[in-house]
Amino acid sequence: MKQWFSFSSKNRDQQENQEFILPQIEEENNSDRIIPHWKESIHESSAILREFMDKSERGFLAAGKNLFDINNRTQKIFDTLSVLMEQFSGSQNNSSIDTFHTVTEKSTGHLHDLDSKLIDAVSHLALLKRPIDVLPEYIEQFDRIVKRMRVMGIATRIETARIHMSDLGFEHLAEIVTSLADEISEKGEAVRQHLRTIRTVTRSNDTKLNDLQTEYQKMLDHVMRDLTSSFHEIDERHEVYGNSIAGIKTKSENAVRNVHSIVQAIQFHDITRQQIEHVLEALNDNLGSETEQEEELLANVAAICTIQSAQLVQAKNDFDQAVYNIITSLGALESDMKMIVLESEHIAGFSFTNGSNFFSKIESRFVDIITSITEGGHTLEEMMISLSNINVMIRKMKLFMDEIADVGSEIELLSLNSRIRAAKAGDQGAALGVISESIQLLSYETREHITAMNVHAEQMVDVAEKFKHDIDDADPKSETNRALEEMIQQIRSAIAEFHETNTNNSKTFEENEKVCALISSQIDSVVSEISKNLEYSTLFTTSADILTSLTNQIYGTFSTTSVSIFDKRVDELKQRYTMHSERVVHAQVTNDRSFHAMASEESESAGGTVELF
Amino acid sequence: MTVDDSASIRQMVSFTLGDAGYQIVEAVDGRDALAKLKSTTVNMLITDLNMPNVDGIELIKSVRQQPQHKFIPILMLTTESQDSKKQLGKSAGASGWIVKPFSATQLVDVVKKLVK
Repeated sequence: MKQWFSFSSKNRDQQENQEFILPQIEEENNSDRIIPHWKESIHESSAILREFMDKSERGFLAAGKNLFDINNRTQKIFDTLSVLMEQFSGSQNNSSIDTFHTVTEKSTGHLHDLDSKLIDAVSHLALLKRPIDVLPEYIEQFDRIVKRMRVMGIATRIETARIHMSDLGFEHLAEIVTSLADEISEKGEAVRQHLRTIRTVTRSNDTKLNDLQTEYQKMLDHVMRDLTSSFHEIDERHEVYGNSIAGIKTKSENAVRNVHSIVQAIQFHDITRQQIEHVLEALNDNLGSETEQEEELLANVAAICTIQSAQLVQAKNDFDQAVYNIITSLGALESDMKMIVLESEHIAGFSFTNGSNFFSKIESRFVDIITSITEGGHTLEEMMISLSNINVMIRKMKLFMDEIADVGSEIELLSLNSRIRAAKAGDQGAALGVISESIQLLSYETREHITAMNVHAEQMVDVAEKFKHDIDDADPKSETNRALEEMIQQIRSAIAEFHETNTNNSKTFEENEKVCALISSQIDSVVSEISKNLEYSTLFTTSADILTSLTNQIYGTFSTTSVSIFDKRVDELKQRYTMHSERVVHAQVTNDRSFHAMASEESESAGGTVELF
Repeated sequence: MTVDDSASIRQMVSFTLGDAGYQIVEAVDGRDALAKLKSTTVNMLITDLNMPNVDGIELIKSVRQQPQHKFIPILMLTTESQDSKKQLGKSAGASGWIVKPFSATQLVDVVKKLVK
């Protein structure tokens, strides 16, 4: 008597939704209807699995070629970038950076020195202002002396006429005094003119010096600050490079891991394929069975279908996981590629596109320094020429002053002589004596003024000498400035060197970027291709569902004897499952402890075990 | 030479070892391998176990009978992990055994060791 296993309503609903329509199970004599259809079901399930194997194998084959191609290209990019970046932050560029730093420090020092010397020059030039302001006052004094001398000359003539003593030579004295007064006036005017010129030149030089000093100050405050800031930026970029190199190394390791993951995923596919082969073999064994025992045959089929449908579900999971792993690995690889593109853009941007402007800025700043120093040099040369003129004028002015002093001495002698003559003339010459004395006092006064003026003139000569010395020091043709120019040449060479390296690197970066874009597009294509395999894997489910439905129908026909045959058959199937993954599934489905133990024991020597004999 | 009925596995082995500098000849099963070995001398054989026509064990036995390949290293790449199967491979003349899934590095390392 056959006993029917009851079907739940859920099972019936599931059956109705399946593409493969199983024969309807009736209350009585069901096995008669199942027997003609079980082979059909197994054939269909097998056909679906073979379709899957064929499609997925082609999918993995096509994807595999691309995957290894992607990996090779990626690895080359990683290697190239690592070498380039290490070169970039290597000794060649560090020496350029060192040159920038050294030159900047020295340039700053020189500009500070120049600035300090110009400040000295300005202060020394300021010392000229006092004598230039004071000396005209003395010349005005001379004007008054000259006027008084002229008055004295007239008075002498009048007094000589009044006392009728023309024979004493006072008329001649009057003429000489008047003439000498004119001479003093003339010389004083010449000194005044020179002073005016000196004042004009001094004021002009003062303005130029202030402008120059302002320019150097600006250079120190702005240009050097910009340069220093640029060099800080270089330092920071170098730090970024260091991090980028470390990042690329990590990505390179990730890429290797991705390849391992892909290699393993392809093998999981092979394992799945092997599982399916075993399923098909087991099914085919029963397709050819000629047993006359209907119940035994159905028990065999049920046993196979039970385990194999579970095996297929597991295979689907493994297969999906393998595909998922590939897609995830490719996603990670693509993400790494995008990062590399960004890194490349960042580096190329710094070293070439924007970098060109960056280094041009540095070069431009140094050109500003050269221009400023050169222009300053011209100004200083002009100042040197005008300074020579000042010196000439001061010397001429001194000559005039000496001449005034000589005239003063002559007047003094004349006045002394006149006083003697006036004394000899007795009472009649008393007035002339007074006049002579006055003239003598005027000559004293002249001498005193000249002495005072000489002190100021000497001071002017002294200041002019110091000023000349200051300008000599600040002259761009001086030794320190020549050294500065040499350094600027060094910086230009360093920039040229930097530029050449960066141009070469940039070309490689650009090429790498193109390859990255290609790889990225290739990855998209592979992901799309591999994703199809996920669609194919639904074939597992369809096939497993057919087997499950068939099993459920056969269960319905089972008697106690059938259960016993079923158990025996399941036990025999252990021998077919030689793969670790299969035994794990078998152990789960049958709850067979010995199989559990076997699976657990062998899991330690499962995938990746290497044994050399 | 790599012998496997799975094209994707043959490809994977070829690419992996090709990257490491080895030249690879592919065969789709034991029979194909034996046919190719008649005209080609190889330094090493990497074979699957379960294949149609001539399986891995039979292939190893046949190869060991060829004088030019009697002492070449033979590595088995297989999904099988049972000791009995391993012993079968060892008795047939296999030099080593790697259970799938393995890593690319493992494969290259083992090949380097065996070829050396």
